Amino acid sequence: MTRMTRFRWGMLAPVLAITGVAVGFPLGYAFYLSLTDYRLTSRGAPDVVGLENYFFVLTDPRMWNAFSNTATYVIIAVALQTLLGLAIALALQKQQWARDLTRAMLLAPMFITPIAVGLTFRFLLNDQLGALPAMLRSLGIDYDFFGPGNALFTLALMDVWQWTPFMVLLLLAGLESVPRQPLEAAKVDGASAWYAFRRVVLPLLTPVLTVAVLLRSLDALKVFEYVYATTRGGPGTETETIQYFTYQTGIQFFRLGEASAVAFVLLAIVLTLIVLLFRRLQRSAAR
Amino acid sequence: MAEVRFNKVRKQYGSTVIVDDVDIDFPDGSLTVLVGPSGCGKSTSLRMLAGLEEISGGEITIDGRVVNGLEPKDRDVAMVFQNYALYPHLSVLENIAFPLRATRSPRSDALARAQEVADSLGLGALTSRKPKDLSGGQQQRVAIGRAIIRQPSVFLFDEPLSNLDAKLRVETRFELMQIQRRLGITAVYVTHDQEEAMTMSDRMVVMRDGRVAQSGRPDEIYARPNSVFVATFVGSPKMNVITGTISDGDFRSSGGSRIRAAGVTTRDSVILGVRPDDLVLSPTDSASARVALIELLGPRAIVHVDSGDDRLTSVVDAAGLSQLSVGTPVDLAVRATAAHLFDPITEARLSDQ
Repeated sequence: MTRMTRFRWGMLAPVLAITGVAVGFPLGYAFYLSLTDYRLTSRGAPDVVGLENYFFVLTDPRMWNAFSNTATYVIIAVALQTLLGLAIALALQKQQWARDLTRAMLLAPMFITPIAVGLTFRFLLNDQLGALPAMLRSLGIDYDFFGPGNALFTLALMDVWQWTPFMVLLLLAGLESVPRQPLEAAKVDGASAWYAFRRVVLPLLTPVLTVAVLLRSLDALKVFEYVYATTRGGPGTETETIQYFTYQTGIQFFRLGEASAVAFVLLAIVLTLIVLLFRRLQRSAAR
Repeated sequence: MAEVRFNKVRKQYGSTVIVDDVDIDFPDGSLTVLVGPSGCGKSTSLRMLAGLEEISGGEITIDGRVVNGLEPKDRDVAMVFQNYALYPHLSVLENIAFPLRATRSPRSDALARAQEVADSLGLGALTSRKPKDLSGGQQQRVAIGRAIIRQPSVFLFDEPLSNLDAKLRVETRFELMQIQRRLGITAVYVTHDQEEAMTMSDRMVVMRDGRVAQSGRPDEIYARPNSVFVATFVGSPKMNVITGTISDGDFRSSGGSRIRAAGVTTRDSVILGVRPDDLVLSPTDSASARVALIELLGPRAIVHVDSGDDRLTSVVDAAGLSQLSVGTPVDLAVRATAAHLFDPITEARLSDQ
């Protein structure tokens, strides 16, 4: 090893050590657990059972149900946030006065811990006690927010409520960095506002939009608190998301081996999605 | 094709007046250049005509139709921007086709037309490239292509050549003029470069501080500038301007210069303007003015002369240069009928000679 290489490794050593301890070890240990029949309730040393846990969870309809619930949740929540966020960002961009105040106020929902948001909505939307259902009933509408067929959508709406401001901020920053001149050129070239938005602003906003959607999707994938605070996976297993399913398997039913296997399946799927997405991003940037 | 008219057009932000009750006519089919130093309101005037800035007062008409309240898209104008303003995500062909697509022409027709335009501008081989893969000159052609494809009533050019290098600027200038003549479309062209204005324009409008300082044919303005500002702004090298008195065809400046100006009426106090081409230097041992610096420009040279407290410039042919070198004492004279006289207070042009 030359002195230069040794110096480089020396400079890298601290961060490698921290990553190793804080990420590598838990990850490695979890992977080891996923290969064992470790249960918190059995006393003896766990046996290594190889891929048995993976076969088990991959053929477990409850896990696939949890996956599809999570996917539905993420798609509804992120799609609504993006559309709403874009609309609000476009409106705020035109705002003339009190810009900073509005933007600061918009951030408020993001500062609330998700478990508190979950609890608040649980009471606000409760079929018997909630203010919103009571108001709807006085209008003659009977809607059970946490009832069958509705609960997952309600959870997604909670995410929309809390995280649309984040979308707004990102997209507003993106909109403000879109160069003005092509837009002026489009106006003079005879484009209507809608055409200019669709053909000029939106394409120029795409990189920011992609990153925003990616960030929000990854974050929404982790949904746990809303489920824990409101439905606990019900009615039935309608709102059992992948994180909640993992939590139940591991922490409530003490089957840590299987829970670790579910976590790794999720990790594999998410990593694949991210890699594919970044490839596409790079290709469109290179074009 | 259309005639454009500014009628007492005004632009102000709060109490700051950018364009101050300007009247300009742009005859049908002409190329009119708005020229002036930065901040004179020329670009703002153009942007008001394009519909990119609101008009604070007065009227702009295109072919007799008041366009004040119209959206840019309803004015039937096309504009070439200083930074080209191409659509970075679209190919050359799509960029050129954009105005047709935006006005709902079928895609295949628009692209076919764009291909013709691209070919005519020598961009035929580049149509699938993105703007960032083009040179500045090529980008400029794409911007021009995008402007001409729709055959608008009026062309607007906002300093379109200022980002090009000197050689390309002269070439593109010539090409632009040819395109404009061929299509016969009324064009309004903004620049801060008086040389560009002089060479390109049918009509030239010199602006200063939001007002029209002078307008007319470029040769007229060059020959009879109506103020000291226009006189020194138009022409290169700059006109010599000195304050002094004239008696018996002899001009004496307050700085101590003496210039023969035969045939010029006696006046107590006056500003004398002499174009460098009209300032004649004759080497004379007894003269007090001295050659300070000689800048060679090939066949001609710019000669800087120190005379009293004044620094004057003269353009001399290579032939006349043999007798001059730094330090040579020279007598100064204005070529006959070439003196410009201005009022020392208003700086307005005085009646000739």
